[in-house]
Amino acid sequence: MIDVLAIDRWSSQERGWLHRASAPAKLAAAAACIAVLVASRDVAVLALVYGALLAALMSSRLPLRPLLALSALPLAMSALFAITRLGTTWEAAIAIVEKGAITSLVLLLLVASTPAIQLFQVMRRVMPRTLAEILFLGYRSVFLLLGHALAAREAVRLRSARLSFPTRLKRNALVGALAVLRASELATEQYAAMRLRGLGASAVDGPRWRWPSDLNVVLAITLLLGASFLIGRITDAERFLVPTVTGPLLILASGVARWRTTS
Amino acid sequence: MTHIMVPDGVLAPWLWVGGWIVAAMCLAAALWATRNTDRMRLVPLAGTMAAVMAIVMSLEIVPIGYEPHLTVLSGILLGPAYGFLATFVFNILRMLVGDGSVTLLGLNTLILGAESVGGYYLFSAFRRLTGSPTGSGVAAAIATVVALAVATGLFLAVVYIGSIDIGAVADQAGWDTLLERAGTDDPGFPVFAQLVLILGAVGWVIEATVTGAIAAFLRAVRPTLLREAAAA
Repeated sequence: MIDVLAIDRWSSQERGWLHRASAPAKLAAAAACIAVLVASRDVAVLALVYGALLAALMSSRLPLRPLLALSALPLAMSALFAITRLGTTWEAAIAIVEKGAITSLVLLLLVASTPAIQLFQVMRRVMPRTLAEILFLGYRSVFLLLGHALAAREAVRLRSARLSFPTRLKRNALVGALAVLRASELATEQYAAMRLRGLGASAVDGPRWRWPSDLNVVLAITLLLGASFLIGRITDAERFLVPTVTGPLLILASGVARWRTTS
Repeated sequence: MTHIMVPDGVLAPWLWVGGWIVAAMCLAAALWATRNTDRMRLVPLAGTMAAVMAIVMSLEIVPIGYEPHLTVLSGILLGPAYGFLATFVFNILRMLVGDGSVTLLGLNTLILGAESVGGYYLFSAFRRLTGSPTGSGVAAAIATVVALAVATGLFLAVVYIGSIDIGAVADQAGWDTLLERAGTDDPGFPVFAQLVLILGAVGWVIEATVTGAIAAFLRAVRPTLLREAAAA
């Protein structure tokens, strides 16, 4: 089972440089990784990206083994899909597994190092109100439901002997139904209280967004890598070299300078 | 099982960009349909059902590699519009635990949304059965099996359409000999489809049993939750 509670706990503990980086910078870095996945089928490039993510994980002071185990969970389906691609080449199958591993690890690094409330603040700026409210209540309900379901399952387990699979299935369904009922009641009460406190009013939508300095660094590195990728693929590349490298380098320099000033 | 667990960058961009566009249109339609509804009741319930789906999804039935979702139950309790919105939120919650691809968010929302919306209309079609808890459970179970079968068909169609592009890449890359030996342009898809359908059918039955049991319980203790779908 995916330990949602553990991910939430890791995200709110100040551990290392990844936790200190701003949410927009981390979102931009995650988007850049996904752009590489979309653009590249090269096993070596994908291995390089995965290596960089592993280095980020190891240096971030996040728990290594639990996160790697969590990132391996969605790989089963990728591996199944990759097996069906063995008729083409080994490289194609390996690339699919690599892409699965990268997607999983990049999202886990993002959510394990960023408090959910910061991610929701970004999402609320790009989502309609109803969706943002469902998302917020859904996230809160995960913890309510888990608590109720685990308590109910423990109670049922303590009061019953070993049962057959169909009976266990039916009993677990009832445990689930009870948890749904209780969690929806609590969510309704919470939503009513939030509406009374002014949910949806512009005054509580959070502070005005400011451009974080580390976002410059991420954008500059992304631009540099993107530019070098494009230059490598076009003829007469030398003509484009100076303008495409100078811009990102200037952004990088200003980002590093501002970052050093603010930290 | 019915959501696409293929990593980012495997399916062709036209396919996932198209999925995003159609999903955005469906989300806009769902949001428009919710403008004159009981928000105080349905918004928290939609949040709860999105959380239920996110938790149930993490309880993978390991021997058959099946992840239940309870999308049909969510459609029955929420109706088509809120059911679709809850499915989208569920997909975002999945991504927040590292399971799911950003580029495939649109396609997955469409496929799982089809389960949710289809489940609601199928359950409504069996409203004669819903007079008793047992009848409601049976109606919900049948609706689940049919909706999941249809959604699996959609899932396989998307994977097949996506595979055509991989075949084209194989041609360009000069893998003709390998393809000739396999005797077909796309040797992987039939194997993949057979595995998904065989393992999926077992999963549909398990998910239908759970959905039916929950629907029967809710019909007995809180019939108002099912009344709207049964009255449609």
